[in-house]
Amino acid sequence: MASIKEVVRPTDLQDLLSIIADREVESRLVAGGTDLLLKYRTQPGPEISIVDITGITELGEIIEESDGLRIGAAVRLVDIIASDVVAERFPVLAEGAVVVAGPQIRNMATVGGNVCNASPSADTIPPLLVLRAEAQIVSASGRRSVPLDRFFLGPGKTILDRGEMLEALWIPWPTTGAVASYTKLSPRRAMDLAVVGVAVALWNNSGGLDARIGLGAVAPTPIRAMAAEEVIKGSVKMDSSLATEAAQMAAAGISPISDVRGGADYRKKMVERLVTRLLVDLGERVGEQQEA
Amino acid sequence: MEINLNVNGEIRDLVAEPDALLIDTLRETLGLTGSKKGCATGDCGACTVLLDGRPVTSCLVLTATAQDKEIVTIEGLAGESGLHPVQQGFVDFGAAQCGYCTPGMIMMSTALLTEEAHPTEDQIRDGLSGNLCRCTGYGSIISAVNTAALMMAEDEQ
Repeated sequence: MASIKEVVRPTDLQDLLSIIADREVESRLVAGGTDLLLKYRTQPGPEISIVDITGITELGEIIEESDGLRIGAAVRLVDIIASDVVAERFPVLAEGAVVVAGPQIRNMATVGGNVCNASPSADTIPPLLVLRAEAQIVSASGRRSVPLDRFFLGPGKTILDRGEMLEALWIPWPTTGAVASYTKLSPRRAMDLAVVGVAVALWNNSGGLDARIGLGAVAPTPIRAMAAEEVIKGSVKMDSSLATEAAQMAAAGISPISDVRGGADYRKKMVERLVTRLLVDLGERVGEQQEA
Repeated sequence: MEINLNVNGEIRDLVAEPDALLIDTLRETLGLTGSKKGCATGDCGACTVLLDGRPVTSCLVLTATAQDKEIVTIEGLAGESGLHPVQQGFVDFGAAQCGYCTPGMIMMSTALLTEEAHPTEDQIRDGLSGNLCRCTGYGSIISAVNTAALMMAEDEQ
């Protein structure tokens, strides 16, 4: 069992960054703690110093910028669900946030934590992938920004280096008329993990339709179904045969595991069904692109 | 480490290990045994308390990070005039069987009614989706919360 030898609660970002830059101390960042406390208290590991990031005001803010929305790493899921700008511009993100665990957990858990915990089945990640989210990363020596689909390396593993932290998720404003939705398949509506999670975004541009498809719980990390996106790209109209063709491509491109939540074959079938259903539904709602 | 906690409106000074969980500190150090420790993994809701007005599972909260926040436990719910309407609703409907989930259910329901004074049955069920009752007495719990909402609405008038 990892032992927690201290809890520090910085209120200034620079202080926090110098704490995690210190190589003498094994520090672990915690926001909501809903995944991490369990892990640290039950799994073997080194003696650690817990760094509570929730005292840093800017990490808890949702900021509307000229070209997109910036969501601080410590913004709680309940804040995402209650946010007017998320409801208006990125409802798919709220759809993902509201199906995480139960209300008590959503009052503590953060979107940054859901991303950094890097669970293959995390419900906010497929929506963020289809929204073209970027991970804004900060360390004592500077900042960098990485498209979220390049952020994950494996279950629980991200590209974050020692001394770095996720500062915010940044999402570009959507194309006019773009629509998106997330479906979580789980036997129980609350307090359950996704058997599969599927997010789809669909929009029109000058060259025809364009889509992004994000899949959870079907690979070591949440992934995009790029081959399926290619099938749709440039098409004039979404219909059931195009949706089915893309969905079959999405299912063919994954090799999920069989576990207690579902078999690999079942997961592939459900991805095919859910991608088809979301594409057909969104195809009826997708609006025309307006020239800016 | 030395910690002071604001529990049910009182400042309590105490000493806790850095890895102490709020549920354990409340129960073992402060003797507030109303909040129950069920699963200790954040799944059952028995340890639900209000932290700055929001219901959280106190088995997933480090005591150290609950400093300078307002904590309300089941012990802090009843006022001078008697039981909170949600508590009274649970009494009236016999909504406690073994009673283990009851404090968590009541804290969650109280928070729910603060946010939504006139919840539908679906809203109550969603609101309590993170609280398990292994006696499966959900029907009477829903009725208790419904009645509490009506009692609170009457009190408002």
